[in-house]
Amino acid sequence: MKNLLGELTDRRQLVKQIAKGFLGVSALNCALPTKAQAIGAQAIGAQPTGALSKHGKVAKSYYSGPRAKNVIYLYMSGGMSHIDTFDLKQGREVQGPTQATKTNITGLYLSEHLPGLAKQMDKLAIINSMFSNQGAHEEGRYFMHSSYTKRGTIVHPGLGPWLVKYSGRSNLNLPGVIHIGNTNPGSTQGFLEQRYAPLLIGDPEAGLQNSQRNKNLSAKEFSDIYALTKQLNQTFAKRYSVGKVNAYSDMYDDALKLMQSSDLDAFTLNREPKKIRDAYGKNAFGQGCLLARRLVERDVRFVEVTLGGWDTHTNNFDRVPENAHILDQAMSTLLIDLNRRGMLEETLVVLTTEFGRTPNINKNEGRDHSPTAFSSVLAGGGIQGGRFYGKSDEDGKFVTENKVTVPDFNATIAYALGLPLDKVEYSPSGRPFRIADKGQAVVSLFG
Amino acid sequence: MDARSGSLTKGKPLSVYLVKIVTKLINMLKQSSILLFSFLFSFLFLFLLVLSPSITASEKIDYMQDIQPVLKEKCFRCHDAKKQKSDLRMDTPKHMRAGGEGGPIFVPFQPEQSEMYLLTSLPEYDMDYMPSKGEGLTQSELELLKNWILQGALFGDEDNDTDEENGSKTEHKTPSTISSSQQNLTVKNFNYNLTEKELQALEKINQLGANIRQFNYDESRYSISFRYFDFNKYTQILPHLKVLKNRIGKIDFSRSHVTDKHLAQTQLGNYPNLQAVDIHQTDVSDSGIQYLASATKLEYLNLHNTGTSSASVKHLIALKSLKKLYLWNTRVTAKDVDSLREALPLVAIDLGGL
Repeated sequence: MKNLLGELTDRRQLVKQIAKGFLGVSALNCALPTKAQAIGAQAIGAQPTGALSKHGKVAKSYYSGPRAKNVIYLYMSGGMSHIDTFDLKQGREVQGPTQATKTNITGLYLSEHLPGLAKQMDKLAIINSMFSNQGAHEEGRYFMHSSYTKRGTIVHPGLGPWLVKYSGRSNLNLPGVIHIGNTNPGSTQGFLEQRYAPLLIGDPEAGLQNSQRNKNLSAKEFSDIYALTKQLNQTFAKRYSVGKVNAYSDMYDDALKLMQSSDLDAFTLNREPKKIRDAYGKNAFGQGCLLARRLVERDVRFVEVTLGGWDTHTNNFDRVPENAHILDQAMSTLLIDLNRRGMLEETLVVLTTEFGRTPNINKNEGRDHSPTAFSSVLAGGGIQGGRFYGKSDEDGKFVTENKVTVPDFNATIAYALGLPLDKVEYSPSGRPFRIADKGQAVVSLFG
Repeated sequence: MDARSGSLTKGKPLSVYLVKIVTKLINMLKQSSILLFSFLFSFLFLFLLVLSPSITASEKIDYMQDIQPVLKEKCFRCHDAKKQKSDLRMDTPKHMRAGGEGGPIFVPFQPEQSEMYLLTSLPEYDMDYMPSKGEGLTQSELELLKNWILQGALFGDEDNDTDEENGSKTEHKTPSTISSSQQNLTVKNFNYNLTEKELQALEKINQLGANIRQFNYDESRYSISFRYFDFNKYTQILPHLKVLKNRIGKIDFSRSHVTDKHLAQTQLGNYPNLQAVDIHQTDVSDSGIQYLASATKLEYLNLHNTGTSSASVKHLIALKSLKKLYLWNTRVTAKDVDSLREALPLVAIDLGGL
């Protein structure tokens, strides 16, 4: 109960803060920006989204600018080969045996291994000019998720915890951030408070483990025991009302709330018709994407689903098709399913990886790590689809046009969500950090 | 300022006086034990160390005289004409102002916002600690640096600019007072003009259990969700909604217990900027849909999984601003869809299907 009240005051404070215009970029759509506001927009490197007219009036379509509320983040772990998926190099030797397929946008092509996504091209903004300076898996994943390079003295928060920190939970019964399959480096709450910690669901089909009351205990007995525990703890809780003690009891309260909530139903994939379950793919990633949709429907704010197996140093041309098939089936179904429910307007779907792979095909028919140019995809949440953004060189080794660094990419996600890019949060040791470090959002990706 | 300069005039003669006394003492004790000598010496050293910050805090710090020598010793190794790690060069005022790869390295009057102070004052074991090579800044050097920034991070060349060009230019280049630097910082806290009444309504709506939030980066529009709302309180919340009628851009009834009755009570025509209504997965039927006809600005309408049928078509046709219409799992027929497409050729109609 205590925690419930806590959350409610948080929400109230949130509204108050919003009212004060704490969003550093809220100048963007406001009519006739003053000089100071113009500087504010400049400070985060953002351009007005609502296309200011000559008279300073704003074109206020619902379909203009960033409008994401929640995120489904698909993480391709191991380093997805951009050349064999989203950044084809047809006619070049480096392409190997991978063929192209037409998309539903005339003149744009994707890999033959992505036939489903090719039909959803109108929804996709594919960035082929991603750049990272981290060439090892662990470090690359950490950088991609947190915008900061890994170091020994601090753990940086991931985008999900940042989102819940700044914009709160919409459904108080469920955690704000849920990871399916894996919690990747750099995606935890880091130095932020424990209550922003992600919940990990190992196997989407098994759902949420240990969420049922022990059958030997009646509901009455259970609540009696809980009430007694609370009573016994009372003096202690009062005397030591400090962060870590409260974090513990908050977690306990949250767990109880979830156990008693009808939203627990979200984790039961059996509620979905077989046809839909099969469409997503009969594998952990496909079912994970289906679970992600069910969770976002219930206002979980950030769901990350991981697909491993992209580290194709050997047999790249056998393994990429296998993996791409799993991705293609799950992601294309997810996009259709979100869209027909009218959810794609406010759900940002992200596809990314730690780095790309070398144009050079090694002696094991594989490709090695190559962080200097790779691909990521954005869809929904105000993203204008049907296009490629940025270019790599003719072999896909280096970026040649519109470079998007890892912090830039994360700034774009944060921008889609309306989060304050310039807001500084201090770690317990007093050092300043921001959502996407000094990344600049690629504002032109939004409609 | 006056009080500070007072301590300054006292400070200087005092230290001179002390030095004199101690030299005398040392002369007297020259032949006594070395231990005592070193004890006295360290005492003097400590005393001067304690004294020096109080001098620097008050005295105007001269960049060329006080700061640059420190930077030369501790920073130039990696940040000068020969080498510019992180694109940072610190050997001239011009380059100092330009900053490095990560932007400016100092913010006048704001040491706690100034990277060059922050990084040098970190604990030495920290990965970001500067200098990354060689001896770090001493406590008194840090104090000096901090005070220099507090005093506005002036390089002493600001006046020259004014002499040669017109007089007002200097003020633009380097804020010379605290208030002018604060003007730059208020950028992030500009006002949002909700009236007092609107603010109260906003808070009431939240208290009653609806979730209202601002559109992303848009001060003029709000989105309200009734997903976890207890509709027994709907008549209580309506007056507050009306207060915000110009601000409401989206109403989200989806997956809630909303009924036709509530749609009738809402009088959507009263919300002049209402562009999106989401009713999906509710018990709403044709008798509720008719009330949508008055929301002429609607661009997004989601009726997926509702009781919408042929009877609603004539009301939907009235929505001339519509851009997207979601009709999957409704009782609307193929024929209805044809007539909708004819009347609203630009609307994307989604009928589901995988």
